[in-house]
Amino acid sequence: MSAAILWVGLPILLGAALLLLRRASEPLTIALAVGASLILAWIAWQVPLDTPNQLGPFTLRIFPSFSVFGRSFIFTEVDRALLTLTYTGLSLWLAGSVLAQPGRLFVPSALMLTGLLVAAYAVEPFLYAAPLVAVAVLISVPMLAPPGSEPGPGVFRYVSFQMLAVPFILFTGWLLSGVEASPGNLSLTLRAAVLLGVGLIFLMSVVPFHSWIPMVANESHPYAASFVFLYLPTLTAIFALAFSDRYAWLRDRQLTYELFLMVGNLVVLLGGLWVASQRRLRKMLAYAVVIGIGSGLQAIGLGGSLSVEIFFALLIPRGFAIWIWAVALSAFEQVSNQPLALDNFRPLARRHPLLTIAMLAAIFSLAGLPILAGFPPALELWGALGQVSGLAVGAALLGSLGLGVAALRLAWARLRPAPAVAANASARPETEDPGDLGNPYAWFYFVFSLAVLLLIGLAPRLFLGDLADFAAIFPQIGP
Amino acid sequence: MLDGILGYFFIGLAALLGLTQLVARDWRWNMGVLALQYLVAFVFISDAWPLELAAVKLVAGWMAGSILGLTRMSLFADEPNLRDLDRTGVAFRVFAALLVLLVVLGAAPRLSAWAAPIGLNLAWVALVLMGMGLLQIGLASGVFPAVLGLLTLLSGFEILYAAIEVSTLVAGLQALITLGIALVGAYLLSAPTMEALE
Repeated sequence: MSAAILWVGLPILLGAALLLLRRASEPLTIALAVGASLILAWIAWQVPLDTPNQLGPFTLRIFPSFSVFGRSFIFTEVDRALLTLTYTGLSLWLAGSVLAQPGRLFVPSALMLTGLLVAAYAVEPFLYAAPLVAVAVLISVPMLAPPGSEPGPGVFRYVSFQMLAVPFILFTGWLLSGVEASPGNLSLTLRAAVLLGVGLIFLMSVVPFHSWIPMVANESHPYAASFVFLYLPTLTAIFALAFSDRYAWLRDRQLTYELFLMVGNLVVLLGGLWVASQRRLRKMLAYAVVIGIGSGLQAIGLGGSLSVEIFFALLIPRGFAIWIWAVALSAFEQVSNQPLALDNFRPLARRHPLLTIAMLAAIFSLAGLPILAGFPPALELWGALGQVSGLAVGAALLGSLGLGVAALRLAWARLRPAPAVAANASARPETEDPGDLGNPYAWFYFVFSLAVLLLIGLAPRLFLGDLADFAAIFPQIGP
Repeated sequence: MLDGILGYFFIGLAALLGLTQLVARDWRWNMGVLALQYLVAFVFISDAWPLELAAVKLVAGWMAGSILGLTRMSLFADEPNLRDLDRTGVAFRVFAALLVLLVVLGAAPRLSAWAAPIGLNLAWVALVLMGMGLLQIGLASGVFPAVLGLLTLLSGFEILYAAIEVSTLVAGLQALITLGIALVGAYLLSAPTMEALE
């Protein structure tokens, strides 16, 4: 069996099948999808490529490459860590949909989206990743604007911005063939770098092309939107690392890292200012994602293998915290008749303490509060940035401060004295909303979330110790 | 084949089509213009690609137009075909289009100079379509005109890319993207009327 069929074809086919069966039992759909993701993650973790493996009565041999129309999808041993992370993360997001209730299109769309993004990662020449990402973006639209809903302008802006990246990336591919032939041609390398940079700016949703993120967060289901916010920019950041790894003329230029750092600083700073000023929780989540994109850019801007380790060290706790936040926000909005904001948060938070505490812990973790999962990689990033540029570490700290302020405002919204007149007449009455203390799923989510956040925060080496496996994906990005 | 008067004819046609796309008040005109745009794209792409491969672009483009047109027709049959665009709006769009043409006038020769496979006439047509498409996206007040703008922009890019790369896989992926954008546009137009999945 080919690796591409396993980690690309199977998720896409399963997603398509579940899409056709979307009116079937939802728990069954979710269980199938979660099971398949976990199996794919386990195979990536345990089964070496291109080696016959005995699995009971069966022999499994996973061939690393698969060709179609002259192009190949190639997976190597070093990719297994990333595949394990991708499909473990996917299984978590799919399982969380039980609580979050993002709609019946989420599970099939998430499977197909992930399969296509993995295909984009593995395709050779890898510049053909751009059209594959474009197809993934198109497939994600029904998840963000489900049937029966009124689509806002944010979804099409998201589609437009991602599509705009395709011409730049494809054109860069053609230019790069010329650069490889004559690497000393400065004007050619400069043009290739500029076109590549513009393409990555669109794909990674760098300011000002991030505007679709808060718009989509406002219009779409927070859980489905958060999944797209996490997976899409992360893949494109990995894409950027792959470019840096592949092309020496890009990797060996200090200007490349300075540009990544400069843009990352701007994004983190602006994200911090925006998140601190938001009243709506959906937009807070959106700007927290923007800060995450900026942090990733700052990590890439450090250069060297440390940049890759810090990038993935930031990614794992950040992805988990966004998942916690998205689940909590979705669960809150199921009982509220209006978008959640600081003004109407208190009565809901009073009845749902488990969700509230988990959500606050997630936001504080994103801000880099000590003992939580986000602190060790954030500290590593700040330390590394401090050695490079005072401005960079200042921007990073201000971004974290912005998130911290947002979390404190949310906590104060819960803890402040109740207003004299109850203003929240449109929320479900207390008799209809039983709260989450009697909900076993809510207890499981609460315990699981806090346990993981605290364990990673208190014992980071135990959980983030294998980051060298990720650095091996980019062997040319040396120390 | 596309040098001389014939090339200039198609450049003028592309500019006229782009302008019509911006100012047309009747969506049926937009669909006709889109079909002609893809025909122009096919003419230029067939200059660089085998005819059967270039035909894929034409077919995909016309199918995309059909999808959008049928969706628009069936969903909004009771609504007037004309969009609300007064004289000031038309004048502004014409002025903006002229600015885009001015930029293309300067950019196309430079593009043709540093990318040898891209002929001057081809660069002009491609950049005109891309510029008009970008303008259409920026000025769009709804999904329908925005989708048309995106299709116009990508059709212009496909002309450019066809001059530098001949690849069956890319042709297929680009056709898939064209159809996908049309389907997404049709979906976003019809989503409010669909039955919600409980």
